Amino acid sequence: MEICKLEHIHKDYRMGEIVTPLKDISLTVNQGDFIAVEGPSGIGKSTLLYVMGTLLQSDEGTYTYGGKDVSKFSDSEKSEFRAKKIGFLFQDSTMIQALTLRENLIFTQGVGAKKDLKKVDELLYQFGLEDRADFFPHQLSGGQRRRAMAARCLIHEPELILADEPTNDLDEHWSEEIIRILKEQAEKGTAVVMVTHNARWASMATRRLRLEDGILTDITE
Amino acid sequence: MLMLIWNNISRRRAQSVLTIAITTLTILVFVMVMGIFQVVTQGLALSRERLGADAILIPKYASATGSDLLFTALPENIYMDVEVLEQAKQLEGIAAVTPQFYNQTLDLSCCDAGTTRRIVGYDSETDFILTPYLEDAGKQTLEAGELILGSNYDHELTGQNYMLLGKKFTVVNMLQPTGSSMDDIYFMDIDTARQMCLDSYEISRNWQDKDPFEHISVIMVKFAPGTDPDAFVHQVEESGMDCRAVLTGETISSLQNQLEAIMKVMFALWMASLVIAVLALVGRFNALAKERKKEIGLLRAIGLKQGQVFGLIVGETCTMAAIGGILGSGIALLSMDSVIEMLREAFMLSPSVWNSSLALLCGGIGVALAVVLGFAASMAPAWKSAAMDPQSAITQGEVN
Ligand SMILES: Nc1ncnc2c1ncn2[C@@H]1O[C@H](COP(=O)(O)OP(=O)(O)O)[C@@H](O)[C@H]1O
Ligand SMILES: [Mg+2]
Repeated sequence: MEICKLEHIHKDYRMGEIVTPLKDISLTVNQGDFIAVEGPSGIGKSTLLYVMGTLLQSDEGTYTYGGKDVSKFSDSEKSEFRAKKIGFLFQDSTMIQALTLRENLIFTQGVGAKKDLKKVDELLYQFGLEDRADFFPHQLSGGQRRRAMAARCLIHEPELILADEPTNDLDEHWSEEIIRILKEQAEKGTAVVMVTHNARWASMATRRLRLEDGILTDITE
Repeated sequence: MLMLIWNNISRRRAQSVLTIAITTLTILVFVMVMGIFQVVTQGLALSRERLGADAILIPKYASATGSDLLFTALPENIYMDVEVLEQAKQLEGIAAVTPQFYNQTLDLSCCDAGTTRRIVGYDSETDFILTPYLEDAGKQTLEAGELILGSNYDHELTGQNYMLLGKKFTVVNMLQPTGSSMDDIYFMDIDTARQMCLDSYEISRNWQDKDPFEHISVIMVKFAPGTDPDAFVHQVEESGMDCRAVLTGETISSLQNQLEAIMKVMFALWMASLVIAVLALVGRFNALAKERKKEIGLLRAIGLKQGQVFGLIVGETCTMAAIGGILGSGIALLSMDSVIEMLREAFMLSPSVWNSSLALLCGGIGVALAVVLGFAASMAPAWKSAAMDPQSAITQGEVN
């Protein structure tokens, strides 16, 4: 079943000179998809995820989600949409500094879904963070923060997970574990779009796409 | 949301303490100035209204000023012959005159009040000064041994015995607050006050060749409608009487002028402190918004609406401002009593108008002002943050 669809999406950044990370992007994401987007750094992979997550408005083309044109959403409808449907795992570590790890999860859950403390504890355990639950973000290592962000992007059971280089800062064991968890999510019916430039993790996906010159090419073997 | 607001405040302690300190100091100054302003202006207005006398006739040689007589309860041992009273009754433009005889307590005496205070003997037949302020209006004439206390004395003393200059009195009445020296004075019948001069060993030494019953200290004068105060002073000068006239209105006006000048300076400082506070807070809240750009981007990404982000920031700043306001008002009100005491000594003013409802009003305005300040200073940065494009918030956050 289709979750969202990008048709001829074009996005320029105009900051002095014009940069066009997305020239003509078309992509349909279905339930259960585990899509890897590869490409050199600075090419526009993160930009693609921002557009899909409605954090960034494209200049041209249409983006429909569940059959609805997202560009017609008001700002507050977009907020609600993100709260309920989207799970972001950002490339850089972003957490609410004044809240502990557990509180970060509870807060995020509270915005988009019903409070469920059991789910919070389950995820903390799943990502090996149960003994760091009451630490503040600045008291965690880079890898621990990455895992915490991964837990946060699952806490409200989103339909579409947008994971931007999820294995950054992680050791072999936890990289493998995160990819496994994302794959498991896809198998359960969630759609996952993952940005990576690691061919090994990309090969775990069901579809592999390459972003270059603002265009997506299917390179699934 | 509330949890996040509170945690942002309590867990970024150094920052919050700074913001709260700025508001606390601002509100402290604000409430103090407002309180003092209230006390002084109301005190003066009340005094004017309650002095009762338009002029006071005092012995020619006396150096006492109007404010000494009206606003301090210190002893004034000034005396003139009782015949001046008869002459005063003949003056033009008067509606009423009443004599007072001053005595004093001693702080050395074994059986005394412990401080030197003025004792006023008054003539209940002609008095128009304290009679209107008697708490028990039915009790007007005093026997020897009966005493009236000003409003600053303990009200439980009514009906109790009270020792003055080794003599036992019964407190039979008290005065309502007047905002003048009357609040601190002992009142008794004029002849009782005179007799005490003879009965007290220490004081009788001053009266060896004089008879207190032949003397008075001052004469309180009430003008008939239309009397020109300056003409009255002139009339007294010309009359050859052994006294001079002090106008009470002038006393209050000159006090008022002094105070107004000081108030103007305070008001300027007060405005300056408000402006500084606003600038400091705007700077702080701008920094706060900038610092958290990335975090705000995250909040938007997990689905907070613009209004919620705005509410979060403004809620945080207003809460800190309110805490500062409560602290500032609290400290101001707690120290108000000693400030008033200082003022009263410096200006010979007895502002008994400071009371708990005025304090509550000043404190309430202080807290409200703090919140308004916090809101005003954070509105622009909060709105800017809330309206930021979420993607640039997250990515620019990385740069900054
Ligand atoms: N807010 C922005 N303004 C201007 N240029 C930007 C902005 N964000 C990203 N870019 C540029 O767009 C290009 C793509 O960026 P990005 O999507 O982050 O690449 P990737 O994730 O593939 O490394 C880069 O060249 C970057 O410099
Ligand atoms: Mg990127």
